[in-house]
Amino acid sequence: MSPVLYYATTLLVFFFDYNILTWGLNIQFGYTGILNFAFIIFMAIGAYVSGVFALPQANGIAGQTYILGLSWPFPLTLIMGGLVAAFFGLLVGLIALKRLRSDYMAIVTVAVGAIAYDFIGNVTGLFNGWDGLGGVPQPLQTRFNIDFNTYQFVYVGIAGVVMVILWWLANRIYSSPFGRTLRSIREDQDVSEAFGKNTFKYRMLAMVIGCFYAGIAGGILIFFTTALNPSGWTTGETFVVWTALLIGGTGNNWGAALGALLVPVGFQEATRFLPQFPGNPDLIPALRNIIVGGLLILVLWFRPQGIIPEKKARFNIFRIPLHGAPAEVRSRAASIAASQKEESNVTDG
Amino acid sequence: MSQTAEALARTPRPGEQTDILRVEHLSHSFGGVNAVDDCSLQVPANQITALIGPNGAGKSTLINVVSGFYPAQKRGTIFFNGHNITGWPTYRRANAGLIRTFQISRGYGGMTVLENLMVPPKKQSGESLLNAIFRPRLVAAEEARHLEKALQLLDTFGLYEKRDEYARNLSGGQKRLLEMARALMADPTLLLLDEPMAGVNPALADQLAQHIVNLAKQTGITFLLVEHNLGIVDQICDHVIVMANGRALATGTMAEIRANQQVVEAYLGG
Repeated sequence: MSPVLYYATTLLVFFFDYNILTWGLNIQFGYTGILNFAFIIFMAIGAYVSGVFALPQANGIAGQTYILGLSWPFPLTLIMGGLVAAFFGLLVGLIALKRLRSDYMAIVTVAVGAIAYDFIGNVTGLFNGWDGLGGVPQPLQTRFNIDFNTYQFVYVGIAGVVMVILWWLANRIYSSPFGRTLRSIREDQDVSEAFGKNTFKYRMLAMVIGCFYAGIAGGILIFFTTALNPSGWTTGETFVVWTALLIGGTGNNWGAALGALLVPVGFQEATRFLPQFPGNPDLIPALRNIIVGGLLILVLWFRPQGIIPEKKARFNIFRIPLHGAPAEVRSRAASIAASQKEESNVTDG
Repeated sequence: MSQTAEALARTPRPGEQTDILRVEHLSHSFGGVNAVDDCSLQVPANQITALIGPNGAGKSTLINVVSGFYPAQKRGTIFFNGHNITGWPTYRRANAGLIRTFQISRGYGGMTVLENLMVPPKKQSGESLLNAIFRPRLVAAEEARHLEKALQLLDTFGLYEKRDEYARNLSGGQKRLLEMARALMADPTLLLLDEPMAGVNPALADQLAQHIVNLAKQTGITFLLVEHNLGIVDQICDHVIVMANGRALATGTMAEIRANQQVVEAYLGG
């Protein structure tokens, strides 16, 4: 396999992974207005849990210590990662969403993120502490004994399938009455409460679903890289996802995907292999952050809704029976239906 | 309250007007200020009742306590439709049919006018995550029903042409109309309107008043409106409650109220 192809497939997997991550944040913030500044923690939980479900029992190989070590088969390991991340989302939601809104909720999530980071780093028996997990078996790799080069493509396929399922789910949620209620809470929580919506329940659901997405993204990441340690999910990483969402367009999954392509993949990953300046190893990462930060400021200033803003809800009002509607409405509906028919006749001819 | 007592409260005695809302000895304070102070009042069913009184009388506080926006402070009881709703969360009161609007219009700015109307219907099956994912047909059929109602309401309130406009782009008056149309989508039993005419020009105020009268007649919704425009109150309300210093000072028809010396001193002015 040529290095270029290897590099391209690697970027593709990262792109798919960041899509999932950004959609998860979009469900929380873009749909529902939840400010979760510990988002990357849930990705890490998903990654570690997927890892320890897939790894064999820790027996001191390479000095690793971790819990579980169940050697479960692939899709189950990924799903467990997602579910455990979702469960922790539920716990954080109970603290942060019950009585708190916006700023205060955000402060709580920042604190939770810091606690989780130090906890996972210092409790070595959990996920091997600051050294992190390594040697995580790749899905289907051992069973089918696929060679290293072909596996790149297989993994692009695996990540792609998971991404497509979650894309479908995210959009299904968005356009459903459930998603509409989430968006109404984003617009004005009090008003939704006054219309009989149990806003706490809905915000919890959005939190849990978003964290499930983060967990799945974590699983996809660790099965690809086969290793993860806390330096891979610092607080800064949360803001990479946030920046992707804000630049791409909140409330729009296409926008989120564009953001994922531009920010983490474009700036973070693609510049990873640029030559380093001798004596200044941190220059490239620093420049990268400057560019991403500058881009974020420009977008917030000139196009706060993001590059691809949220779409207006369209209802197909002419397909519903309007028998009870006033004559004026019905005649208008009829004339529009007729003109649409004409148009389609023209294109047919 | 025991089961029997609650059942009794629900059954009207012969020859008696049923009260859809009963507030008994309710108090609510902010720090040391008793905004609502041992207030008792009744709102008769299927009528239009006005809640009037000078600024600071506690009208808005009362509305907020009754609708559940201010948590109960364990002083007083609120009965709605025979239920003791004093400790209920806001959303549960709304689902029981107690719907309110706000003093300042609060549209869902980032959603279209039509979409604003699609939020309130109660017990939408598509609001369950599982139905939303796995039962699109069921959800679509229900959406069509709500959509039809929403379009008719938009037509009634003259907002049909604005249906695809973002709610934040409406004018102040249109926002008022939207607010009322949206509240009606929730099928209220009792609709609390907090100053529905505030900041509305006289022509539109008359129009809103006419809507309220028609709705009360056609649907049997009970209205309780906080209002300062006494001309309109006189014109459309069956029943008036005057509040001052946190409690109900007098109740009756507007004519009776005007004849009440206490009220004239407290509010209407000599």
